[in-house]
This record gives sequence, C-alpha cells and structure tokens, in this order.
Amino acid sequence: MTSNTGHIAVCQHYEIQIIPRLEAMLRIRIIVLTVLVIFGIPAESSIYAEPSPVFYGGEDPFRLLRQAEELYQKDPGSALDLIEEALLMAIRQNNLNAQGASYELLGDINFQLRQYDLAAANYQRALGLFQRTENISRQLTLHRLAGMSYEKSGDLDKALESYRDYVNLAENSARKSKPSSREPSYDFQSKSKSYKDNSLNELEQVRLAISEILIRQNKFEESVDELDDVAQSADTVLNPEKSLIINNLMGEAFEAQEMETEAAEYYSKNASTARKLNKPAEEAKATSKLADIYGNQEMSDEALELRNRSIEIYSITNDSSGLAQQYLARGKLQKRINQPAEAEESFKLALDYSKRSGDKEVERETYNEYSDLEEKRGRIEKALEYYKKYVALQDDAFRKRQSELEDALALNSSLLQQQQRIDLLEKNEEISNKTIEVLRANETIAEKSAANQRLLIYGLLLIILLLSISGYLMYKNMRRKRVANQLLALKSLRSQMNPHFIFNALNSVNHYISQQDERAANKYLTDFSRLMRSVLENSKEDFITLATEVEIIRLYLQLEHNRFSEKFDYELSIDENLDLEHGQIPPMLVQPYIENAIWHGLRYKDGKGTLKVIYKLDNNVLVITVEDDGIGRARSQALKTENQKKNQSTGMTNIENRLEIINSMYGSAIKAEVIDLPDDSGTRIILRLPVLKPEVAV
Amino acid sequence: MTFKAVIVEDELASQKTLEGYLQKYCTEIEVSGVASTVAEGTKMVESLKPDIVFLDIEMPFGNGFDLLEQVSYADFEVIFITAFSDYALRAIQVSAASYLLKPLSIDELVAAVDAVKSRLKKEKDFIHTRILVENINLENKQGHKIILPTMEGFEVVCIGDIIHCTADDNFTVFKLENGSQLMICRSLKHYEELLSDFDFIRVHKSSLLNRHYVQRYRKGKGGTAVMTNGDEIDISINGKKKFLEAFEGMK
Repeated sequence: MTSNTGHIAVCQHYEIQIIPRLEAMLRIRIIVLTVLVIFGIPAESSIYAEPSPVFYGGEDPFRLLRQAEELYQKDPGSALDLIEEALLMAIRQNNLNAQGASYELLGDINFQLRQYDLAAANYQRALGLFQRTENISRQLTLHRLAGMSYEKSGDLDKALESYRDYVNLAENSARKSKPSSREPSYDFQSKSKSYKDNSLNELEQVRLAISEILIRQNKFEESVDELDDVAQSADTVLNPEKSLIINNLMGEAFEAQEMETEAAEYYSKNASTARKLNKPAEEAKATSKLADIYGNQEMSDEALELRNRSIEIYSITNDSSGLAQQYLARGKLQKRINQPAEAEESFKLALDYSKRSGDKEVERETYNEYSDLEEKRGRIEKALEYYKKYVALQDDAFRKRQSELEDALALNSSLLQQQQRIDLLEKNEEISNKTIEVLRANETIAEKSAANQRLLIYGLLLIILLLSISGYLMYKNMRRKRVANQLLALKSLRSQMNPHFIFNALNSVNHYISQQDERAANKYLTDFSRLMRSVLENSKEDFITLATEVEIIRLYLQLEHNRFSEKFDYELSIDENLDLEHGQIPPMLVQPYIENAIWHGLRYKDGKGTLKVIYKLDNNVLVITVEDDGIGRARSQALKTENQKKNQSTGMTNIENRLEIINSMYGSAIKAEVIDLPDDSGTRIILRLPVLKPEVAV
Repeated sequence: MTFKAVIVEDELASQKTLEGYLQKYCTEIEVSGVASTVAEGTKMVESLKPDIVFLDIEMPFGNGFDLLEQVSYADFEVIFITAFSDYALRAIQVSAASYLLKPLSIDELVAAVDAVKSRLKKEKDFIHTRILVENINLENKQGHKIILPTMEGFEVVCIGDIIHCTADDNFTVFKLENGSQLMICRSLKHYEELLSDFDFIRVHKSSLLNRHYVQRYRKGKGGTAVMTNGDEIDISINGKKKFLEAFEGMK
C-alpha cells in the first residue's frame, strides 16, 4: 500500500514535469528557427529543411510547416490548417521528407494537447516516411517521441518497443559510421523532449526511460540489469551527475520490490553524492525518499531526523514547494508517533508553504491530515473546519480537472476532425494514386485495345476497299457487257446485211430498170425495202419475235433467189406448233448461215442446187436447220484464191462471237452445229435454241 | 476510133446491164466478149487483146485481181466494178485506176470511159494496171507504189519514200525521202484513208506522217515528232494517242 502511493507520486511527478519541459523545448525551437531565419543561415540547418532541392514552382511545404511550428502553441487550429496544406503539397510533390515532417509536427501538437494516442500514431507515420528516405537521425527522434507518447497513453509495451527500436538503431548507426554529412544535422537540444537531466545524452535518457517502464511493469530484474548497463556505459564514476539519476531509479526499482533496505542504500548514496556535488535539490530529494523509507519501516527517529535534514536543505534553497511537502510528511510522521503539538506545527508550516508555492495538492492533503489530527485530539470544530477546507480544495481540484478535460475535449473534437480530414486526405491521395495507377493501367489497356481497334479498322477499310474495287470491277464488267451488247447490235446489223447483198440487190433493181421491166423493178425494190425496214426496225433489239424472223428470212431468200435463180431453189418450212407471236429469237441469227450457203456453197455448184431452211419445235427446243447441197466447206475453201482470201468476210466469226455473247448475257444455251455432208455434197447447219426468256441474267 | 472491151462479170443481170449501158452511152466502146469467171476472162483477154477490161472484183472461182495476175497480156486499161469492198477499193485507188460502184451510174460510167479513152490516146503505158499488179504481188507494203495526180499529169511514188504529208488548203504536200516535195490536188483526208494500211498516222489535222521516218518524240501537250530529215511535226492532243499507240508494240 505504501509503495503504491509512492508509485503514483512518481507518475504524477513526471506528468507535471513533462508538460512545462515540452513547452520550454518548443520555445527553444521557435527561437532557434527565428534566429536561423534572421541570420539567414541556410534553411538546411532547420529540422524541416528539405534535403533534396527538388521543388515545384515555389511551393514549399517546409515554409508552411515552419509557420505552423511558430503558430501551434497559440493557435493549434490554424497550425493544423497549415500542416494540412503542407501535407497536401508534399503528397502532390511526392516529397516524403516534407510528408514526414508534417506528421511529426502533427504529433508534436497532439503531444502538447495530451492526445498521446494520436501523437503516437502520427509519429509512427512520420517514422515510416523517414524510413523510406533513410533519414536516420529523424528516425531516432521519432522512435523516442513515439515511445514517449505510448508511455503517456499507458501503452507500456509499445513504449518499450519504440524505445528499444531507438536503442537498436542508435547503436547500429553509431557502429556503422557517423551520420553522413549530407544529412541535415538535427539539433537534439532543440528537439529534445527530455524529461531528465541534460547531463545525460539522449541514448542514456531513452535507456533510463526503458528501465523506468520495466519498473512500472514490475520487471525488476530486467530493470536492474538495464540500469546497471546504463551505469556502466555512462561511466558513473567519472560522471557522478549521471549516477544521481541512475541510483535514484535503482532505488525506485528496489522500492517497487519492497526491498527497502537496498533502496535506502541507493538513496543515501545519492544524498551524500548530491551533497558533495553541492546539489541541494537532489540531496533533499534523496534525503526525503530515505525518510519515507525509514518512516515506513517504523524507524521514526531516523525518519524524523532525515525529514528535518531535508527541511534544512530546502530552507537553504528557499524552496517553498519542497518545504511544504517536507513539512506535510513530517507532520504525518509526528501525528503517527503521537506528537500532536509538533504535528500541528508541521501542518501549519506545510499549509503556509503550500499556499506560498501554490501547491494545492499539498495544501489539500495537509488539511486532510490536519483535520484528522484535530479529530483525534477531540477538537471536533477545528477538525470539521479543516475537513471542509479539504473538501473545498478537493472540489476545486476536481472542477479544475474537469474543466481542463472539457476544454481538452472541445479542442480535441475540433482537432480530431482536422486530424480525420488529414487522414482522409492521405487516404484520398492513396486512393487517387491507386486510381491513377488503375487509370494508367486502363490507359495502356485502352491503348492496346485502341491499337487493336485501329488494326481492325484498317482491316475493315481494306476489306471495304477491296469490296468496292471488286464491286467497281463488276460494275465495269457489266457496263462492258452492255457496251458489248450495243456493239453487238451494231455489228449484227452490219453482218446481217452484208453490203454486197445490199448493193447487189440495188444493182438488180438497176438491171430491171435497164431492161425496162417496170413491174419486176417495182416488186424487187419494194421487197428489198420491206426487208431493210424490218432489219432496221429490229436492229436495236436483242430479241425479236419468231414471226419477224421468219418474215426477214423469207424476204431474204426470195431476193437472193431472184439473183441466183439459175443456181438454186429453196424450201422454207415452219413448224405449225411454233408460237410465232410469242417465240423469241436473236435477230438475224440464221441469215448469215443462209448467205454462206448461197455464196460459198451453192454459187460454186455446177447446175442447180437446193437450199432448205427448216424451223422446228423439238421438246421445247427450237431447232433451225439450214441445209444446202452445194460444194461443201472444204472444196469451197480449196477453190479460194489468195486474193479472195484477203477479202474474206468476217460473217462466220461474227456469228460465233454473237452466240457466245448472247449465251453469256442471257444465260441461254444456243448451240450452232455445222455438219459437213459426205463427199462434199453440201453443208448442214443445225441451230438449237431453248425457248428463251429475254431477260438479262446478271 | 473504137476501143475493144471485154466484160468479166459473174452475174448475168449485171453483164446485161453494163453491156446495155455501153452500147447506149459509150458508142466508141465495142464489147468484143463477156466472161462469167476469171478463167474464162483470162482466156478471152489473152485472145481478144482488148483495150479496156470491165472487171468485177467479187466473183466465185477467183476475183478480179486474180485475173490481172494471170493474164500474160497487160496492155489494157481496167475499169473495176464492185458492189462494196474496202480492201480492193483501196488498192485500186492507190494505183489511181478507174473504178465503178454498183449499182452503176451512167454518168460515172461515161466519165470513167472518157478518162480511160484519153489515157489510151496519150500514153499507152498502162501504168495504172502495171502498178496495181505490182502492188498486189508485193508483200512489203512500204514498197507499194502510189500514183499521185499532179497538175501536169501524175507522179509515181514509192509509199516507203513518203516521210510525211501536210495539208495546205485542199491540197496535200508530200515530203519525200529524197528531199523533194510534191503538191497534190487532193485532200489530206483522201490520203489518210488510202495510206491507213501503210503505217501512216494522222497526228494532226494538217499532218500525216510515215511511222517509219519518226526519229524522235518530244513530250509536250501533244508533243512533237522529229522526222529523220529533221522536220518537226506538231502532234495534237487527239493525235498523241494514235501516235503513241502506233509505237506501243515497238518499245
């Protein structure tokens, strides 16, 4: 029970001690910064100097951070605004050092406002960033600060972890080499959130903090080992100032284990050392602790003596706070050993000094004790009076604490919102970074797919081009067919009506005129005119009716027979089953065969020949036969002289071409068969025309 | 003075018509024989030795040219008679022999007979017939001869010696290989037709050139053909195509 109170006292002691130190430290930092700015020392020596000189157009997050640092004591809200801005800037510039510095400053603010959880979290974040930039000295500082924050928030395990990280890193980096010269030198003095003595270096301070936590965790052996270690490395023989602190902690460690004799040894050692070093405060502290132990061990005389000794020391230094505490302690002891008058005297002095030093806690405690004493002495009224004062002070303290808490809470809630905003900012930035990555990924995918699409489009265009080319070629081909068709019509006119026939026919008319045979001339001329009219009228058509065809052939035969009546007779026979009005046939298909028969077959024959022209329907096929009993193709050809061959008519080749074109255009299958009759006894032509539909087959 | 004539014609009607016209309108012509085929005609010409032969070109068993090749006696003027024949007509025109188209025109018949009669009275060299026969027998077309009528009479020119012809109003100026030039009283159009089978190209409305004498071609809108004698002949845009086509197969 007694040790417990001692423990609490220690904690309270630190709490009280740390806050003013923190403030002092910040003040120093601000002064240092101001001095730096005023004397134009390169910003590099500032903690928030950017090691790498890469900045975007004048946007300097460090400038904002320096402003925030100056501001945050008075106006944490505005400072947070500035930090937020700096952080955003740093994130956009991907400036890790600036981001780290921003979080560190956030942590500082949290720490100052006793938001130790948040402070720890921000320090850890800053730490992570500085780890990425491999900034060792900032990492060390942040390990320590994180440890302190965890310690304050009561998370001793994590505090221990952070401190140990610090120690490991410090020892490793010290073993490796001195920090590189490029790295900005950090001012430990200014950033030192130290809670101990400046005579200790930072590593030692951290190690002592570790020991302290171990003590609080009741890990006695570990803590003692740690302390021994520190004592050795700190070389306490040469540095008695350091031994004061270490021994004090040793004492506390033993005290915690209720090994009060051992603890007393350390304290008494400290008391004498402090005396030698002429450090009255330390001496008084050690003496007081010794007195506590003796008091607890019922060694009242020794305790009282020591108490008086410490009072003596505090009197010399005129430390009213210390005196108040000592008088209270002496009073409590005197009350216990039943010296009420002395105790009352002590309590009165305690009250006096505590009021002077403004130490409400001591004052309150004294009233409580005093009231108890008076009650025991039977002076109920006095007891009640002091009790009331005790209660009033208690209430005051409570109210004060409460309003403090309320203030902190109000501030916290607004600051927490800002903190959340900053957290969100980071997350957003992360998300947007991810989004950007995703977008980039999408972009590359899109690019690829765009390339594919382009390929596809080109392919399609090519196909379209090819299609349109082939389409155009097909169209041209069709056009050519049509042109060929028209040419065919023209050609057929020419081939049908061999100019020889026309002019010879006219010559025949001339003959009748010269013979003055008016009737014959008239008949011949009118027949010839009918034939020519018929031919001319139908020359444009690809197909004519069978009736027209038969009419043309009849007239032609008649006219030619008129000329060569001594050479041949003819027969024209038409099948009765033929539908002359609806049957269709290409015009002048048969005439050239008849002309051939007369000119090349019958004309050479000795004596009179016979020409047969037969139109017959056979199984829906129109079969036209042109048969002569002339000299036959072979003999006719043999009889031709060179000069005649030079002037050969193109009638037959024309007919063949025409048939080919007509067949391809109309999808028809008109076939011409030439049969040479035996022994040069003539030629038979057989034309077969399936009943034709006069439609262009495309 | 009468002239002996022989008619070679396969169609009876035509024979009779011509004979009738001659008796009626050409009294100095005495028809001493009528033949229906080339063989018959050849014999008749050789035996009768006529001054004039009316010769149908288109006949069975050999045509008019065959007769000219076959006859040993060639001292006669020929008047060709044809219904229609591109090839034959051109050959006749080159030799500037007389010809008549069916159905016969009496006026033309009389004019042709008169022209022949005057030639028979003057030269008696039967150059037209001989050149015609020569040409028929000559494979190389550039060696064919053409008879160009001049103011004084006519000029026999080897077609292969003609470098180019230029139109000059209704006359045609022939530039020959030997450097001389001839002014002929016929249109360029007439010679374009006559010489179309002889590698002559109408490159311009006033120029007809012999492809074989083209030395160089200079590009231009139509371009210019430089002939071997150095003459430069402008080619029209329309003529350019024909000109270049003529050289297409020779590149």
